[in-house]
Amino acid sequence: MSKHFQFEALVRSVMPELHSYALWLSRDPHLAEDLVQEALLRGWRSLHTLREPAAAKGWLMRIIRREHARYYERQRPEPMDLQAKDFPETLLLHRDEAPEIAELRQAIFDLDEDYREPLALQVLLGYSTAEIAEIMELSQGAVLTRVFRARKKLHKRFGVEEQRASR
Amino acid sequence: MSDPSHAGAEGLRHRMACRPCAAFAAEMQQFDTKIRDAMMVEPPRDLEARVMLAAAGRTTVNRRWLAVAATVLLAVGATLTVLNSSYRPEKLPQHVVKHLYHEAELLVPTSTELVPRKRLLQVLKRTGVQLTEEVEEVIHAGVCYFRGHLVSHLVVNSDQGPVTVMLLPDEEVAQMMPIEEDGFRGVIVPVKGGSIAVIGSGTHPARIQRKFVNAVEWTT
Repeated sequence: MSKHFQFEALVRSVMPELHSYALWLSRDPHLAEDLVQEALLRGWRSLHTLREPAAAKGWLMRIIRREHARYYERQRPEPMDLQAKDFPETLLLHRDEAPEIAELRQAIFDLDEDYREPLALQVLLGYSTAEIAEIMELSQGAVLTRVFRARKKLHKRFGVEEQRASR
Repeated sequence: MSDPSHAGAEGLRHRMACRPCAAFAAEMQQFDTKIRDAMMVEPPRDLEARVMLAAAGRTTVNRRWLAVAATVLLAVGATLTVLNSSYRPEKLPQHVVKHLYHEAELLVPTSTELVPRKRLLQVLKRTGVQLTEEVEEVIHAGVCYFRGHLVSHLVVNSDQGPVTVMLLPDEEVAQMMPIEEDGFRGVIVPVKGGSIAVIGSGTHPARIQRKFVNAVEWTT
């Protein structure tokens, strides 16, 4: 397989999840696209070492995460800017999606970054608590607390019975 | 509930005996599926093309940067060696069990309705598998992403409860590998260049193992 085809196959296999991860990390569609593009171009340069798609996805995810942090280091935004973001059109309902998806996206969008990122790593990218703890440099207990609270907030917003949800 | 898909074997056994808990867990897992659906946002249609175009434009690299790139690649190589080491064959049983937790709702199926033969064959074909003889009592057939490959994930009804069968054409093992982990029992059997994992929470599902070993043939 030529390098071009190999890269195209890699891009196709990792793009949907990495793009979604970058989007929920940054809550900014344009920044998310830049982060994914930057990560994949580094992937292109290192393609000969990226044989396993799952390992490649982990490597690319870490680039996205690092570049996202660097972006905010460079920008030094006001703390208010981190929270006060408009719900982007990208997250509006697409064809063939259930109506409640848009409402759920708004709820996830409103979660604090501390809760949103571990939830994205677990639900979108399928990482275990131990893996998320290593990625985010947290204890496993802290990760468990954060994903529990993230789900609890979503359950509350969507009327899932509180007593049962907290079991 | 920090992850509805990770109840542990004990928790899963409890669900099998306790209808209210099974219903609650199913509700949580359904909500988690909705969360995943909501989090998956289709990338812009032209993003892939932009990446490919930008990559094509970067094939000529300034020599000065080659030295820097070489250093970075060394670091990347070291990182990937560590990452790839988690895909060693000896870790296959642990990864199979881990995968079961990710698909935990399949361990407590709410229905014993059989998968239509057409659907079963579609799933198998998509993952490079064909059957040389009939297999029975398949109550779930899906395609999963496992260790970098798409594989068939089946659930078969048995008198010991549901048994998971994963058909792994890309996972060659030298010999039979027993699975005894976290209350699960089963085996990974080598089959002509690939392997089949058969695993349940009761006694070792030997009959189902024999059936699939005889019936499965890889097409890729």
